Amino acid sequence: MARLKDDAQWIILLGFIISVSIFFLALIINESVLVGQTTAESVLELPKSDIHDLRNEVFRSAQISAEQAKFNGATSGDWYRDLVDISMSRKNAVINISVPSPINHWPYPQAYDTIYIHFNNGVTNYNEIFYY
Amino acid sequence: MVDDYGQLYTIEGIAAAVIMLVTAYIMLNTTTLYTPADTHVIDMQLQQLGNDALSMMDTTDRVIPSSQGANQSYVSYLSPLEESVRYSDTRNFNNTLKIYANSLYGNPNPVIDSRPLQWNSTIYYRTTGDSVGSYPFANSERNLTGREHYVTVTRWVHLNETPSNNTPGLSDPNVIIPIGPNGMRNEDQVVLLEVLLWRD
Repeated sequence: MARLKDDAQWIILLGFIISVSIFFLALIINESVLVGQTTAESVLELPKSDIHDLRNEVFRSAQISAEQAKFNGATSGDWYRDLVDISMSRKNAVINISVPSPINHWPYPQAYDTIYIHFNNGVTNYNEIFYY
Repeated sequence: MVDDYGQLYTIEGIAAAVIMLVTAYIMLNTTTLYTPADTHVIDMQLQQLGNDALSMMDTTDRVIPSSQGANQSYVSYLSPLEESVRYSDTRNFNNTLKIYANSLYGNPNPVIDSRPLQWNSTIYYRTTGDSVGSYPFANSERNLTGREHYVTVTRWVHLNETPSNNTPGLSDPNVIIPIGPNGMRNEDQVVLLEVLLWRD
């Protein structure tokens, strides 16, 4: 060993360092694809807009029913069954809604009424009790 | 004879190794991961854009009248989206969605379409026989060939009456609303507007 020329040891060491750093960079690039995919997919999977829209529609429909009952005594159609059936058919979501009968609002509204909203599409479960 | 001339160098070497290891550890753990844009990020953004646009169209832009008539209430005012579905006014729907989602800054006929979005929409309803029926609603210039990479956005629409397509000046004669044994119920109901959005 003593007679051996060891000037090339630095080159070998640098080679090791460079290859290790390239390996780590490759690892990071590989991860970045996965991160984008999983993040976007989890955002797409969360039915945020579905729940927002469902709440909005339930409250508006309950209001319309109450107003109709108040002004001409008419009972509205069973619109909540539309929500249940079409959600099952088009969104693969099981929902259940319990709305007070609009006749309670006529002629004088009660102090408050209770609306129950249940939403479950197999991934996300959302339950709400709303007093209005 | 063993001497200890190298001790200081050994300690220095160990210290340097520790410093390098700590540096490498910190550097690798503080790396920001840049996400390439060819994953589902575009779909996510497009879906959000579509939902926002439909939500804006479903906001009524009229104020509550101060003196309400006998049968007049503020909920009787329809939002532009509800109005479009109620009267099959696809022209108004298309123009509004074009302005909102296509980001044309209020000009529906620009020279250069900056973000050309296309859409195709369908309305789903519960029939008299408790099944779910549908009829095609508004679509953009391009037809749906089935090869587009589209996202689906939906919006519930409350209808006070059965929609009609015989209102002069508003209705689209191409929208054929199924009335009949398998058709729509003639009462207060909720229908689902489903819009397929894709980039051209």
